[in-house]
Amino acid sequence: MRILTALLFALSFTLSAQVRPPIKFGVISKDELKMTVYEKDSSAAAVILFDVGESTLTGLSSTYTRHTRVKILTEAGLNYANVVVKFYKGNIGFLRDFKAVSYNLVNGAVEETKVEGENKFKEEFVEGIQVARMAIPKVRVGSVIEYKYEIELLRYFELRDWEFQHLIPCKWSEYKTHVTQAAEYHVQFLGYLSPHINEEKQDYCGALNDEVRQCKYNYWAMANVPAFREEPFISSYKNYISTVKFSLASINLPRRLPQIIMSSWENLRFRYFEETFAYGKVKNTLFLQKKAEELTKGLTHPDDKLVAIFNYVKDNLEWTRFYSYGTTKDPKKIMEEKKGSSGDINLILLSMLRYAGLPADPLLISTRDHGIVRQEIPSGSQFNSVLVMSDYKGKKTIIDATNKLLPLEFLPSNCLNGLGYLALDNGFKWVEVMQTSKTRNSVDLNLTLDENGNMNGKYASSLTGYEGQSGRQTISKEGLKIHLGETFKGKEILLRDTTVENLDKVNEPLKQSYNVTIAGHSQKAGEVIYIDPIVFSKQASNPFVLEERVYPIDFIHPKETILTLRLKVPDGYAVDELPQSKMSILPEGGGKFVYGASQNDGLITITSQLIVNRVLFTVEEYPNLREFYNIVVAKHNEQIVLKKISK
Amino acid sequence: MRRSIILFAFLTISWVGYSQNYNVATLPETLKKNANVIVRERNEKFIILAKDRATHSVHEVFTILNEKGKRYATKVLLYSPLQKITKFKGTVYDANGKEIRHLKSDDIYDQSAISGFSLYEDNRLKAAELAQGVYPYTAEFEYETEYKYLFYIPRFSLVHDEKVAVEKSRYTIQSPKKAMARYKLLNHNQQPIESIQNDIVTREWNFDNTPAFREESFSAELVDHVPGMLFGPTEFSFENYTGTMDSWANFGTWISSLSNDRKILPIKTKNEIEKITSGLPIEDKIKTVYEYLQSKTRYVSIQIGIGGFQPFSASVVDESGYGDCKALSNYTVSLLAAAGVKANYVLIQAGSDTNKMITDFPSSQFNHAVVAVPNGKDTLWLECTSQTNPFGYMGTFTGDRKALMITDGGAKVVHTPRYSENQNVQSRIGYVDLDVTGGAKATVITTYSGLQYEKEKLNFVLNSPDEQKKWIYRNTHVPNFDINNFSFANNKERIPSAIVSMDLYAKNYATSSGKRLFLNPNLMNRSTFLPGAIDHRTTPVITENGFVEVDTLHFKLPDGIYPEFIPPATEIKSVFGEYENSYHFDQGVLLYIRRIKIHKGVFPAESYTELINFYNRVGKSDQAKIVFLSKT
Repeated sequence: MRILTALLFALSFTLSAQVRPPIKFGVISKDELKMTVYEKDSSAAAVILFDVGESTLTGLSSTYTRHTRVKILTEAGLNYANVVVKFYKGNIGFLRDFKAVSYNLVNGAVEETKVEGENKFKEEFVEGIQVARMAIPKVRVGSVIEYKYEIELLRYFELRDWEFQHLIPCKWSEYKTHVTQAAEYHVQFLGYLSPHINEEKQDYCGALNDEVRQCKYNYWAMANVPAFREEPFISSYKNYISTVKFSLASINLPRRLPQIIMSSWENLRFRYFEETFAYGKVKNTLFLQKKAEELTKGLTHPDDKLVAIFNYVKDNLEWTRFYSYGTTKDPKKIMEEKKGSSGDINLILLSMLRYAGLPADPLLISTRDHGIVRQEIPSGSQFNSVLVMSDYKGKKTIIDATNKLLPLEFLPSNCLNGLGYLALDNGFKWVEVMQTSKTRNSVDLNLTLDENGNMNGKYASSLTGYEGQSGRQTISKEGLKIHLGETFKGKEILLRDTTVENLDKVNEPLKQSYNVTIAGHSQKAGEVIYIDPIVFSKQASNPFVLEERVYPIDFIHPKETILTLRLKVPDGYAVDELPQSKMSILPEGGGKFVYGASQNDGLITITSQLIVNRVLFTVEEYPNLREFYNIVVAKHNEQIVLKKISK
Repeated sequence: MRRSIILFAFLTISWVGYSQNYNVATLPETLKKNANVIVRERNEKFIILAKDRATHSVHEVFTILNEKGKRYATKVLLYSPLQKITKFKGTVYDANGKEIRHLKSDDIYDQSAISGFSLYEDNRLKAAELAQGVYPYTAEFEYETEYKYLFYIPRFSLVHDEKVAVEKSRYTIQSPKKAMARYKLLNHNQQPIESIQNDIVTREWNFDNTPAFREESFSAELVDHVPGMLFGPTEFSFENYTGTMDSWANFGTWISSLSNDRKILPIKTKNEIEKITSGLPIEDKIKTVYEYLQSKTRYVSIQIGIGGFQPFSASVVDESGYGDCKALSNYTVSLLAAAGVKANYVLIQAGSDTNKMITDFPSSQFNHAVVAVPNGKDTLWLECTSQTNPFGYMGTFTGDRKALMITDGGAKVVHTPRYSENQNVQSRIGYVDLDVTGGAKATVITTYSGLQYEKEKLNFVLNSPDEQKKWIYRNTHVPNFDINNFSFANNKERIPSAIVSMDLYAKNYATSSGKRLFLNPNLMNRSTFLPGAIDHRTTPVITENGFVEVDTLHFKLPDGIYPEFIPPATEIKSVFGEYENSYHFDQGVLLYIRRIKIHKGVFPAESYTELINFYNRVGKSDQAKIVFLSKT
C-alpha cells in the first residue's frame, strides 16, 4: 500500500507538471503574482505562464485568436509588456477584441489595470499590412500581464504557424486548429522538442455550406518549454525552435474541380518550368545565345567553355543581395542594369551554358537563413534561391555566379544548407548541397633566429576557398595595407618586398610572400632563449567555451589550417627542449590535428595541421570536440627552449 | 528667324541651368583621390515662409566610384502629418553621363518609420534606390519637404562621411526680415553672400572643389572638422506653441510652456510621496523618489507631432506607469516637488558618439531629457528612463558634457558629472593554485567602478542573470576554462561599482613543455590593442576615457619547481598614460602586480606616434612569460 502511494505520488507529480493551467481572461491566482523566480530557469527575465492560440478556417474566412499571459521577473523582462500585432488591412482583414490587462499585488490585493484606447496605436506598415501596437500600463517587476486578440481574414485561406518556443521560457503553450475539409494542409513539426499532447479528430466548424461543415480538429500542447538560447556554430534559429508549420496542399470546394496547390515534388518541376523559371523567356533571348557562342568560340574542352561563361556572368553581373529561385526581370534588363537577384544571375548562367551545349539544370535551394528544406512537404515555398548543376572536371558540380570572389568550386556559404531540388527535364532529384572542396589556409615560415631574439626570413601564405575570398575582399575593398594590418594585427613585425599573387585569379590560391623580421616571439634570458613557435594563425583560445551544449555544432564547410616553421637557431646555441609531437583525431573521420616538432643540425621544424572534415557534429560529440580544441590550444602555446653551448 | 533666335536663347539658358555633364572621365584627379563618392553638385535651400511654415529642397548629384559609396544611391525621406514630401525625383546616369533610368512612382517605397526604441511615432518614410551593378555611375536626386511648423532647421555639414569629395555645393537660407533665421559657422570662416529683396533675406554659401576627408582613429567626429552651419529660427511656432529662440532663456521659456500645466499629480500619489519622504534628509528624499519612480514606471517611447518635444502630463504617467524620457523626467520633477524638493528638467544630447552641444548658439540640439536636482554645491543627476540605473549615476550615455537646464527664468547651460580617471577603476585580485601540469584553480574577484561599471555592457548583465555566465566566458581571456562558481554584486552608489567573483579551473593556465612550465601571469587583462599607423596625421589625438586598472595576482606554485626566468619589472610613462608591472617570488608564491592608467585628453596630432609606441610597449610587457624549471 505504501509503495502504491509512493508510486501514485511520483506519477501524479510528473503529470501535474504537464497539466493545462486554468485559462480564463481576468482570472488570476495570487500565486502567479507572488512568484518572484521561475524555478525551472532562475535566470529568466520573464516567463510565459500560458500562450494559447486557436485557428478556425471555414473556407469563408480564417480566424486566429491568441491569448497570452506573462509574468515579469526582472527589469529586462519589461519589454514583454509592449505588444505588437500584424495583420492584413482593409476590407478583408480585421483585428478584434484586442485587450490587455496588467495585474499587480498592492497591499495584498490584486490591482487590475486595463488597456484603454490611448495606449493603442495603429499604423499602416507598408501597403496592405497593418500593425497594432499596445503598451500595457502599470507594468513593473513582479507584474503579470495578459493580452488577447482575434484576427479575421476574409476570403483567404490562411493558417498561421505556431511557435511553442521563445526567448523566454514558457510553462504552457497550446495551439488548436479547426480546418474545413475543403482545405488540405501539410503539417510539420519542427524543432528539438516534441509536443506533450498531439490529438486529431473530426469535428464541425462554421459553415461554408453543409457539405463542408466537416472540419479536422488538431490540438498540440507543450509544457515547460525552455527558453531558446543562441549558441555559436548553429544555423538559423528557425531550424531549432519548436514550431508547427502549415502548408496549403489543396482546396476542394463542392462542385468545383479541386485546386491543387501542392501535389507532389514531380509537379513542382512542371510549375517551375512553366511559371517561375520563365524558361521560354530565357530561351528566346538570342543575345544570350550569341554571347555564349562568342565566349566559347575556339574552345573545345567543355570545362574551358564552362569557365569562360561562368567568368563572364560572374564578372558582369552584380548580385543585389536578394534571393529568388526564378528570374525577377526580363533577362535583357538584367544584362543592361548589370545586376540581379540570385535567380536572375544563375538562370542567365544556366541559359548561356545550355546555349553552349553544356549540361545545366536548376537546383532549387533554401539558404541557411531561410531554414532547412523538408522533403515531406512538397511545396515550392520552401525554396528561396537557385544554383546550377553542371559538369566540371568530369563530375557533377554545383555552381553559383553571385559571388565575384569565390572560385568555381566554392558555393557561397549561405547556400550550404542540406538538400536541394534538382529540376530535370525528365524528372527531379534530391541533391545534398555541401562544400566538398576544403578551404585551406597555409602559412610557411623560413626564418633565422639571431642572438637578440629577432627572427628574419621569409613568410609565404596560400589561401583558398572562403579564406581566399575574405583575403581578396579586404585587399580589393580596403587595400593591401589594411589587409596586412589585419593579418599581422598585434605583431611586432617588419615587412619588406611584399608580393601578392593571383589577386584577380580567384580559381587559384591567393598567395602572399614577404620578407619579414619578427620580434616578440622569443625571449632571451641569460644563457637561454625561449621561442613561441606558432607565430600566425594560432588557435589561442577554444571556440567552444561553454561546458554544456544544446544544439548540434555546424561548421558549415570543411577547412584546413597548415602552419610550418623552419627556424635556424643562432650559432652557439642548441635546442634544450622541443615540444613533443602529437596527434589527435575526431571520431569517424571528423577531423584531425597533427603537430610535429623536430630538429636537425640547428634547424628546427614545427608543423601544425588542423583539419575539420565533417561539417556537422552532434551534441554527444561536443565534449570530444571541446577536448580536441583544448589539445590544439595547448600545443599552440608550447615553447621551444634554446641554450648556449658551454665551451 | 526670330523664332529660331528665341529657341536658341532658351536652349543656351537651359544648358547653363542644368549643366548635366556627368561624364566621369572629366573629373579632376584631385577629387577622385581617396574618394568613394564625389558630390558633383548639391543645392540645398531652406526657406522660412512664416514663423510656422518652411520648405526644404535639395538637388544633389553623386558620382559613385565604388561599392563603398553605394548607399549614396539610396535616398530615404521622412515625413509625417507636419512634414510633407512635395517632390521626390531621381535619375541615374552611366559613366559617360548618359541617362540609364529615372524614378517612377512605383519605384518609391513607402513605410512607417518608427525608431527601434519607440512604440509609436507618426513618422513615415519614402525611399528609393538607384544603385547599379557597375561602377562608376552617377545618381541624381531632387526632393522637397514642406514643414507645417518651424522649430528645427537641419544642420548643414559639407559631407557626412569620409572619402566623399565635393565638386560644387551651395547652401541657401531664406527668411522674412521679421522672422530671420540665425546661423553659426562651423569649422570655416566663409561669410555668406547676403541679399535683401522685398523684406526677404537670402544668405548663400558656396563650397567648391573640396577633396575627400579622411577619418583618423582617436579623433573627433567628422562633423567637428568639416565645414558646416548650424541654424535656428528666431520666432517660431510649433502646433500653436509660439516662441523665440534668440537666447537659451527664451528657448527654455518655450520648453517650459509645453509642460507648465502638465506637472499635476493625482492627490493619492502626492500624499504617498509626502508620506514616504517626510522627515528624511534631502538626499534621502531624492533617492526615495528616484527608487519609487524606478519601481513604478518603464520606458515606452511614443512620439506624435509636438509630442516629440512636449512630455505627457504627470498624471498620465502616474496612471499608465510608462512614458518616454520627457514624460518620465517631467514626472520625476513633479514627484520631487511633492516631496518638497525643487528639481529641473534638463535637455541633453545623449549617446557616446554624438554631436556636442554648441553652447553659444541657441537651437534645438537635443535628443534626450534627464533631471538635475540642485543640492547646495552639489547637483544630483537622475536618468529617469532606466529601472536599474544607480541613483545619481550619469555614465557614458549622458555624463561629462554640456546640457541645457530648464529653469524658472528660462534656461542655463550646465555640465553633467565627469568621473575622474581615479574613479574609473577596475581592480582585480586573484589567487591561483598552479599544478605541475600547468592546470590551475583560480579565485578571481574584480571590482569595476565608475565608468568601468559599464565595461563590456556589465551594467546590463548585472540585471540579466541569464547573460552573466556568458559575460564571464566572453571577458575572461584564459584559454580553456570551466567556471565552478560565480557571482555578480551590484553596488548602486553615486559612483557605482560591480563585483564579479569567480572560481574557475583552467586546464592549461600555464603551458608545460618537458621539464619547463611557461606562465603568462597576465592572462586576464592583456592589452592586445594596437592603434593603426596613419601617414601624415592631421587631427588632434583624443582619448575618450580616463581610467585605472590594477591586477594583483598571487600564484601558488607546486612543490618541486623554481623560476628559471622572471622578466624584469617594467615601467612605461607617456602623456597618454602610465603602466607598470612587477614580479615578486617568495616562498613558493609569485606575486604579479600590473597597473595601468590611461589619461583622458586632447593631444597634438604629432603625438599619435607616441600613442602607437605606448600601446606597443604595453602589449609587449603584457606578453612576458615566467619560466619555471622542474627540480628533478
